[in-house]
Amino acid sequence: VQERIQLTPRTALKAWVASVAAACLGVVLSAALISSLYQTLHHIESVLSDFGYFSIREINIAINDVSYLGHMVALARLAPDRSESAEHLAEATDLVHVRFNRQDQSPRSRDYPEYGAAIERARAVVAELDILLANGPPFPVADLDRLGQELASIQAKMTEAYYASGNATNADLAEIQRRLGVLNVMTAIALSTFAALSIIVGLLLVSRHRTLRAMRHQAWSDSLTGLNNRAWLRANIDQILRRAAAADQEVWLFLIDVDRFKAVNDTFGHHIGDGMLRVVGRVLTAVTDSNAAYALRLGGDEFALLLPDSSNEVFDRVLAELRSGLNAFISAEGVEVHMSATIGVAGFPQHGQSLDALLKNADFALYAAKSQGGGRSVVFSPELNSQIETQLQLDAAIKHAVLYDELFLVWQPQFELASGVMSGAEALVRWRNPATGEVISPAGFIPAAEASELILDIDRFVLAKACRQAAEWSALAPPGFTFSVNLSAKHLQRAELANFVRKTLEESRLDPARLELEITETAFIENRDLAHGVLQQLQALGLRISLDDFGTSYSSLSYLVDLAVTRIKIDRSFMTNLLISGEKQSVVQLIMALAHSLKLDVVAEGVETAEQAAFLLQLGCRYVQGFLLSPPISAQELTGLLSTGNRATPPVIQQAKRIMAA
Amino acid sequence: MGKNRGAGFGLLARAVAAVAILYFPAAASGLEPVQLPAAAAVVAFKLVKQGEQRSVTVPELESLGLHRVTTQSPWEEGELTFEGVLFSDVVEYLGLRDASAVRVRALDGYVQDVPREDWLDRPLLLATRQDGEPLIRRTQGPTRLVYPLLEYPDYQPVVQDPRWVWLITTLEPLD
Repeated sequence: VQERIQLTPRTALKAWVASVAAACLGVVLSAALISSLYQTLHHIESVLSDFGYFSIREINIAINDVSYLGHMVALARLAPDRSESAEHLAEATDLVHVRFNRQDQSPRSRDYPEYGAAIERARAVVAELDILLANGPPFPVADLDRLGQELASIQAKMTEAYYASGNATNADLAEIQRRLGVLNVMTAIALSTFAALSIIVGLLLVSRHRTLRAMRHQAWSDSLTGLNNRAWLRANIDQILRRAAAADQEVWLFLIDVDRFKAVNDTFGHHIGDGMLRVVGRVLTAVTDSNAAYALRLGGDEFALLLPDSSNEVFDRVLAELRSGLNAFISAEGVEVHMSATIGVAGFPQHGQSLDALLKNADFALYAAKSQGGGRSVVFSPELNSQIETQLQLDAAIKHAVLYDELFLVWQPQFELASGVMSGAEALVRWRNPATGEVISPAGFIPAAEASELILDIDRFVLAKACRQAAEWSALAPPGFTFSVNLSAKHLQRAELANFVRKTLEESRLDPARLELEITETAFIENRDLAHGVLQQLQALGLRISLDDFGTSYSSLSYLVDLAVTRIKIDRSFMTNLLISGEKQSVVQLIMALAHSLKLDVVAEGVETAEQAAFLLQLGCRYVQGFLLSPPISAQELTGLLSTGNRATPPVIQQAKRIMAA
Repeated sequence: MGKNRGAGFGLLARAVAAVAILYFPAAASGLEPVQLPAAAAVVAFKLVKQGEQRSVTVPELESLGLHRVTTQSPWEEGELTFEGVLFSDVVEYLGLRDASAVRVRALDGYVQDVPREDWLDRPLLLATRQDGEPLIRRTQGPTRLVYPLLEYPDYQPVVQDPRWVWLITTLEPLD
């Protein structure tokens, strides 16, 4: 399950408000800076033309001209009748005329009233001098005196304006300096803000990039194993298949299912289960590292390996690597668990053109491998398909049978050899097809049910029904009469079994001592410790446990010692040809000796002849059952037998006794 | 005194004006050759060269070829019409071709150095007349420098306004 980062309306609103606030701040700051910049530049520009030449120097030149004319007037006063005086006076007058009559005056100069007034007065002096000069020397001394004083006065006024102008210019310069200082600060703030914003934006971009990468990783990979996930497969399969098709190459899809993962997870906890999955992830990663393949975790304990562009050798090598890598013991926290995996393989293009077709067929192959007992690998083939279809149909039919009560029980009586009395009965399941009325024996559907989890449903059904019937018979049955029910080995891998049995016993009000659960040795092969624990819980309920099919499969005798198994049942296969096979006799003798020394009762199954019964009686075998002793009978028949107290000894046992007596 | 240029004239307006000048340069130069009756033989200015002085007369200058221009002046109101000789011709005539600048002195002691770019790149006018009348001392003569503003698209008022020297008394080449 991938986590997805979601933008809730609340966080979206927050982000929006923050963005707007940042934008407003930016706008205000920019506006302040631009306004300050504009004002400063405008101020500088507006006063620029008054600086230097344009103002102070012009006034200075004007003062010089007036001063010079004043000197020339003074010179003419000393020598009023000299022609040189006239010449100098004319020249100085011309200069003042040019300055004040011909030249434009700057507005800044006119801003000083003293200067403005001086202009008019200077022009008046020039006009008077023009008249004096036109008349020629000698010049009237009184006029010269008066003009000299006037020029000195003009010069004084202009000098005042000159300094005022200088001071104003200084003030302007100081103001500009101040504004430039402010502008510097503003610029520094703006640049700092800009730099900070740039850094923030940069960091945001980097973190966005990282987030995107993380999200992509998160979206396309499995967090536990780090392998690609189903979404990745969906996103990339088209390209992989297209490339393979273009290059005329095959792509192999290996579906990998960890055997009994659920049991491990339930029993030892998620951490052990997760550890198992991580080991699978490591194995797959190792395989993909050494071969150009893609490892995937599709979910739960379902893994896949995608192998494009491969030769037969590569295919064989990858399969071998997977099988050896996934068949391992895993120890974690003091627990050692055997891990195995089942592999189903489908190839592109021969087994499917699309991902869905490939997945379906690889799943078929996986299913087939599972039905064969797990830990195997099967490559898909069309025949497999029909096989599986049949299996699936059967599965569906069994499911239907359980659901709609098409199953019923028959009872196989068991006899005590010595007394010849019926001592118990084993519940056997039958399936009646409601449409045809045909009755199907367990051999027709139990193996198929064993391959899947359906056997659990069947067993639960059988146990519940058997307990109900047995409870009804309890009043009729003699003391010590037991009712046996078969339990699949799968149940012993389930911690909840004891609970179910207890509940069933309570509901049916059956005395636990009347109930015998028959289990097979295979129950101990898969997970001994777990099976052990479950058996102990069952024993605590007060019921009996017998070992079914004893001697046929791998037998570790230690559990016979560890567990208080009440009875062992010798498999029917030992009965055929018992009397002519020395080896079988030896094995049966051995089992009997073992049972005696462990103080276990023995039930011999499939006893059909008096000779067999006699042989078993001689060895001290206490109980027998078999078709000729009594075929499985219906519940009504058993009710009849129990209620009439019919304890008739089967003829076979009577014969056996005669043989023994002889 | 300087005219009111720039003051109160926004940056934007300046930029628009600059663009306008770039894209719509004045079509006519405003500077054209002209024939006028000969002027009186008065001294125009003195040439000071390597410590030696020589007087240059107005007719001597005008023999280099008169040109007329009508232009605005930074110092006076309205459109003014001047006649005079190209300063580049004067420099050539007086043998000041290699000078980097010419130092121009005026009667009131005013001094400016006019760099060679001012006369090489553009038609700088040494005016001897205004409205056809010979310039005299009263009219800022006998010679004055006039920058035909239409011919100077890159005219810089702050730098070049002061080079409008009148009442010229001496020219002196600078190395």
